[in-house]
Amino acid sequence: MSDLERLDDYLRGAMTDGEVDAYEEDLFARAATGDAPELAFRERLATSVRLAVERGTFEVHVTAAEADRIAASGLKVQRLELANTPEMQTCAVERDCDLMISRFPIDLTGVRGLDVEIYAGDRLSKVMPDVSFDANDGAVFLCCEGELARKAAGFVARTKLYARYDDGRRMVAEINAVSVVVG
Amino acid sequence: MSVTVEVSAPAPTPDERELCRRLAPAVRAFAQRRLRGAAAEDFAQDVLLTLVGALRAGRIEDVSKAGAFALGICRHLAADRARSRDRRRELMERYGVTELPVEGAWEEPAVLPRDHLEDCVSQLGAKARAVLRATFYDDDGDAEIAAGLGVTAQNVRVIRHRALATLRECMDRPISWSVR
Repeated sequence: MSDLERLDDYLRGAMTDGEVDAYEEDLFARAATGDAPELAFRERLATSVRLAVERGTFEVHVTAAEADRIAASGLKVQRLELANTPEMQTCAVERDCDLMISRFPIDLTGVRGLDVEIYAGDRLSKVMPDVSFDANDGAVFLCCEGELARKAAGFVARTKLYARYDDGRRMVAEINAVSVVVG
Repeated sequence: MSVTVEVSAPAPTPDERELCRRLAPAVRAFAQRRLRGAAAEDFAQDVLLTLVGALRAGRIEDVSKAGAFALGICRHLAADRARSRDRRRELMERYGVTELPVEGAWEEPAVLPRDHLEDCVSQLGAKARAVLRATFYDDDGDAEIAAGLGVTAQNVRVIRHRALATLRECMDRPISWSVR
């Protein structure tokens, strides 16, 4: 069991009293010598998750209603419309936006689940499984930190959307885009 | 209640600050396991104040034992903790500490880089994201999380363990988009 798992069991009450006593002695001894990195990671993660939820970026993919709520939150939100075409698109990312919400229109009738794959050229860069969506929206919304969007400037991304239906999974869209920072 | 604080008491030394900086997360973990919100923060502050008092009184001769000493303070205070904020003022008076000895040690901990965390969280499955949110934002217990997800509490524990490991590993790597 890893140090992070043991800390989780400790904090969540999944240890016996005897285990707790021994664990606390080990934890405090390591903490005093600066050898308990899992403590700092756990604290930072907990704080960061709380902040991300409040900011609206914990779930990267959101529904139309959530996108509207985030846009009205007081942060500087840039909204972007992507076309449902495999043709190369250029996305202008504002230099000072806090968040960027991209809308990609797509028919989600009968879709049970959506997975997103991002490729750099032919190399799979990232898989985003089980993304959030509302089939009634007729679109997928991606809510992204402005910092992340700006860091991706110049990166030619090929994004593939895979939908899961009752009768199987298949690719339903491909988006090719490159972002540039403007403003 | 009137409180008299010895204004000539020395500010925390660098050694005191460093020791408290190291121990503060463990003390907070101890407190969070038993208390919620402000009560946990108060408890952690009391422990650190008592620790500094013990250091100044020369009661911790072997610094390598400071962790065990701090744990002893935690256990002692947990057994007989006061729920009032007055405890902190009493401790400051008792030990002649005029300011919190490790400013920043019990402040909200630093955060992970927002963009990097977003990149990593987005690669988790829906259940893992739901468990993390319920754990850290909603502050739900595992039984409550399990009921919401239609799984067992043991499943929740395993999902969270895997998610934590995945996130730590991911945060140690460059952002996915930057790997070209």
